[in-house]
Amino acid sequence: MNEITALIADDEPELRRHLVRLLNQLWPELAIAGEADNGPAALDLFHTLSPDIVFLDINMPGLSGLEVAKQISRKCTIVFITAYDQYAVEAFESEALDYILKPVQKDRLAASLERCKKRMAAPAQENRDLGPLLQLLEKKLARNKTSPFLQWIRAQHRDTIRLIRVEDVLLFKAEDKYTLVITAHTESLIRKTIKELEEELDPDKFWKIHRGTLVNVSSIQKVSRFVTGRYVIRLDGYDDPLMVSRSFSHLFRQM
Amino acid sequence: MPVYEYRRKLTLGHLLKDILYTSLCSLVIAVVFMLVTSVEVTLKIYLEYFLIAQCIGLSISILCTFAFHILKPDKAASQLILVTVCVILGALAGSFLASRLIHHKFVNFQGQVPLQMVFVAIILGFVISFGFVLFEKYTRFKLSANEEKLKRILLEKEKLNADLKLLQAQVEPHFLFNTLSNILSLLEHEPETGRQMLENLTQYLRTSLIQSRKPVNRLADEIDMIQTYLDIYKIRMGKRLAYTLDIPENVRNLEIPPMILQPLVENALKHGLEPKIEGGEIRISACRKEGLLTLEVSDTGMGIKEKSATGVGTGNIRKRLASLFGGRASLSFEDMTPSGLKAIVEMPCE
Repeated sequence: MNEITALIADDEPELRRHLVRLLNQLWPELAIAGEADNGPAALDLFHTLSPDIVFLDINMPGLSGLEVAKQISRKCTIVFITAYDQYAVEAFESEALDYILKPVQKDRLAASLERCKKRMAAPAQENRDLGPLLQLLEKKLARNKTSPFLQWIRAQHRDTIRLIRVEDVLLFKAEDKYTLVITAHTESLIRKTIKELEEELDPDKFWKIHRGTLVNVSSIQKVSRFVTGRYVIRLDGYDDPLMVSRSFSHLFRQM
Repeated sequence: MPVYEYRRKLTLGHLLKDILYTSLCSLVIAVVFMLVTSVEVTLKIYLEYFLIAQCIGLSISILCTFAFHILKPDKAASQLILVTVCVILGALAGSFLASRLIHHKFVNFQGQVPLQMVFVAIILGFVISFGFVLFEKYTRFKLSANEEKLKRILLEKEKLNADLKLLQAQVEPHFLFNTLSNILSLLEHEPETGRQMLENLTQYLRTSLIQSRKPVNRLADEIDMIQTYLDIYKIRMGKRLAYTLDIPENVRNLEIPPMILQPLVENALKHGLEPKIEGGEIRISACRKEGLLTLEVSDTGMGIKEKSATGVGTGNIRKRLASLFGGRASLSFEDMTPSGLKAIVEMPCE
């Protein structure tokens, strides 16, 4: 049997050292072919070294452990390393994926290595394609980091670019090719058009009340109706009343 | 005179309960009177007393209940008048009814309504009616006292929850486990660095626990705490992290609320520098100008994407600043060039 090789990927140097030392003790025949301190480096090393086992930290700069695993899971055995991630651990448990928890404990690592050995001893066994599963898991873990909708607006303020939270915006108002972003304290012009904004903002939180106006629903203080049947709204923190154009008055009819 | 809060709705259950209570009261009165006035207690005398007491008691009670239900008086004076009228009318009607019934059943009864009986009925009617009113007021008072207590407990619970969140925010599990992993590894081959890191961790945990429970802390103390935090990260991230602190002497003794700076530094590490392959630098600065303290935490990390989540931590800072300083304090963010994020906190200072 050929020599079995391993690759370790973790961004914290001390933790790589620790794992190498433990592996030397528990599995002296295992050759550590290489170490990587970020996602892309791990991928590169994998392609040049083609190790049998890859120890992958979940949180790595560049590419996460899950993203790396997605690309290499068919060609090797993967053991995930994670410090604390409830979702990840639940998923690993339910899918019978190998994982070790930081701080790495000797007996748990030994158990995990036993499983690896068994798996590799069965010659006919193909490595599982974890692609679809990892894709799902990645979405689950990333869900609280990014949103499908626009969350920040970049606006020029003298010589700096200020970031405005979308939830602080009272209304967006079209001004020629630009858009005026109005919060309780500031007004700034941005290059995005109302049309672009309308597509990127959460439609439940921002309503179009006029061809050139988007208002933050949560800042609406009062809706009143004129004798003519047109709606007028007032926003908390904005003095002028805003007319709702006829084609958008259906938004307020049920209120 | 307190206003009697009668029930807004009259149900059969209420009516039956009133009748039962009245009946019991009347029974007691009958027995007391019998014992006081009669020398020998016969069944006949007992029945007479019982009948009289029940008739008068129930007349007053039912009259009161319906009168209140129909007229719904809401002023203390009108309630007093209504009770008086009801008691007098009820006593008269009850006495009359009782004497008619007794006359019918027991022929030797005189058949007339003795004046003393009506008089005693009116006085007792008053005493008992007001007794009922006072009793109801008392139970209501107890009920509202219980509600107050419940409210207070709920408030305390909310505060505890907020405290807990603050504590959880400081000692994020990821941070703790990663740091412990590092210490564990260092202790084996670089015990001196390991010991240093353990000391930093202990120091950070202790000071953050103490400081987050105080309403305000010296800026210098908050900065010291953050420095231990950054030193832990420096061992973990090695060359990928550098930091500078620019805290002039004239702001070191200013007081700031706890956990305003720490979450910003944590964000800079977690979302700015840790995800960046080459790492970068964090700079914390403070400056005082015309009664305004400006704190800045900037990093050369990944910066914010337009769809990055806004984060619970920063929302929490904003809320706390708003509740402490109203519109005079703010938290804002700027892009750094060529990359990174700058968080700016402004708050009033003396």
